[in-house]
Amino acid sequence: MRRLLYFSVAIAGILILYAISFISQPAEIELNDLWKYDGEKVIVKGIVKNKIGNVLEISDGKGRCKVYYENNDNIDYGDEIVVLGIVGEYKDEFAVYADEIKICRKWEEENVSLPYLLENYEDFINTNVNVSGYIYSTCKNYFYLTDEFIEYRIKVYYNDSLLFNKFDRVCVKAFFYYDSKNACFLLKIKDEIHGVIKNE
Amino acid sequence: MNDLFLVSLFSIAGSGVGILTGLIPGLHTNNIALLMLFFASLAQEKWSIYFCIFLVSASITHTFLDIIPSTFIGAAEEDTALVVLPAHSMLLEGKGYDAIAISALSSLASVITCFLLLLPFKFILAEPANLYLLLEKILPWILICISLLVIFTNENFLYALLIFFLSGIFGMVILNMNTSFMVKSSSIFPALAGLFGVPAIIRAYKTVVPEQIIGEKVIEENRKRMKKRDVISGTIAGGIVSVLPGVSSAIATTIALITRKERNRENTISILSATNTATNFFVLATLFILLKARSGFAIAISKLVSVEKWDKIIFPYPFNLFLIATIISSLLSYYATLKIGRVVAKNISNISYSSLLKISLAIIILMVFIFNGILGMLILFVASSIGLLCLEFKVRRSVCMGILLLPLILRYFL
Repeated sequence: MRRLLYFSVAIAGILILYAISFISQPAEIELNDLWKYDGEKVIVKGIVKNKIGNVLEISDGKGRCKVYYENNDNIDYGDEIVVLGIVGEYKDEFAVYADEIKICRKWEEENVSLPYLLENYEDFINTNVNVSGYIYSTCKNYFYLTDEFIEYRIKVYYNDSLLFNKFDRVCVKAFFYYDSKNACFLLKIKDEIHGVIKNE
Repeated sequence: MNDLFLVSLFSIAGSGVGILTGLIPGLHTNNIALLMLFFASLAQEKWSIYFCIFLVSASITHTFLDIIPSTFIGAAEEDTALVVLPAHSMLLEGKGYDAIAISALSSLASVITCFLLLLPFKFILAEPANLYLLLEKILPWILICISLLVIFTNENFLYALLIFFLSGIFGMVILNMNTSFMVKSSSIFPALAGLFGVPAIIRAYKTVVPEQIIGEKVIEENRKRMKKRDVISGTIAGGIVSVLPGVSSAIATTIALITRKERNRENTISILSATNTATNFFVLATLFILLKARSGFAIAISKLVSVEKWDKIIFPYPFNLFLIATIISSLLSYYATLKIGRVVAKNISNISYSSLLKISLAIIILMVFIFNGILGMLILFVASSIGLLCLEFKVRRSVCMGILLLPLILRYFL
């Protein structure tokens, strides 16, 4: 009898708590509205643009914000993430102190063509990208990637010697950035997560 | 010289606060960490290091002292949830002080073991072994194995399975709830107080606490009884979980308990106390080895001072100062735990135990209300039902750790 009572109370209680958590779910907001929610729990979504220690910087296309989260080892530049956390101040600006982060899409899951990357560079700049194209020419520490019509071209820095031939179709996983000194976009293969794969 | 004096002074002051947080159920050093951040923002920057030393001492001391409310009133926190039953049953045999002595000895032995294991820990975790990368990858499988062991080592494993899933679903519902009320807090406190603390108090209500036997040679006897293996396994478990994201010391204790096939109450208390202290010690080390802050006090330290990576053999600054603070606070805490434990044990049979339990229950309810408000009270009530159901089914209460294990496992797979 007691068992049934405790069990019923537990089940009913869990259902009530679930209903409460469902009703009081935090609002999903845009990053440029962050200042309106100081001290409140919110959900924000964006692409990781920067990562320094425990601080991530995300962008949703309309605004940017910093996200403080210590367990961010598996989050990389270019990942699309959903953050649940409390809005607070961080070095004179608003930031989200995350309780939980879910990765909606890893950067490498989205394969883009070279023309798409360069035409929409604002969406990808300073992130990891997975871009497909053709080997154009190779040198000791870099090679050029081009599209099928040889209209677009980008330099890819690569530390190892490349074992591919001219016009081999490849997928390049690299960091995409702008070189202001030479006024050009570049791809850099610099981490273990980066590389070049032949695309048959 | 002046520096060493200030280090000692802040270590002693931190230990004093750690004694208070350890003795008051529900109060945690993470609450103190928030206060330190506030005070540090008011003070000059050069004092930040001393606030950190204060925090390190408080957090180490807390792990020694929290055995006292767990033993005498059954009021558990996350770190001590699993220790309540063996410690409380020793109390009912008049051996409450023995439980305190075993715990204090184990915590102190754990600190010594932590110092001995510190360099191997660094070399295994970071360069050259880089075990951290492997641990992180296989973590969900480790957690699944722990869960299966926790469930299927029960005689009534079907009941254990039911309690595990009930606790797990309960955990999934409440862990992301914002329950902070007067003080910033998480929903884990009312949940664990309900799962482990309240059922113990309700069950103990009609019991009469006998006069506590405090032998002249309690320390010597317990030192002989204490197994090196228990302290070492607890310390290693503490070390492992201190580097894993999202894994608390409660899960470390579960791991450590599973590694011990034949265990009695003394073994259990020894393992749990060693794990609890080692977790805080290695959380501090992890901050300098991997630059990862794995708990509230480590986050506060990383905000207060600049943390440089420990990549040589010599301890970097300010990690060396924190280690001095750890030695000072450990020694102080050891004697404080024995002294306070002795005073409480001597007087516990002279006061009405049922009144003490009522007061304890009132303190838990009050703390839950202060920290988590009405919603916290509801969580406490539901958790207590699950805890009482667990006692009715006669399954081991470590099964209730499903509250943390199931959400953590699912987070990796969903």
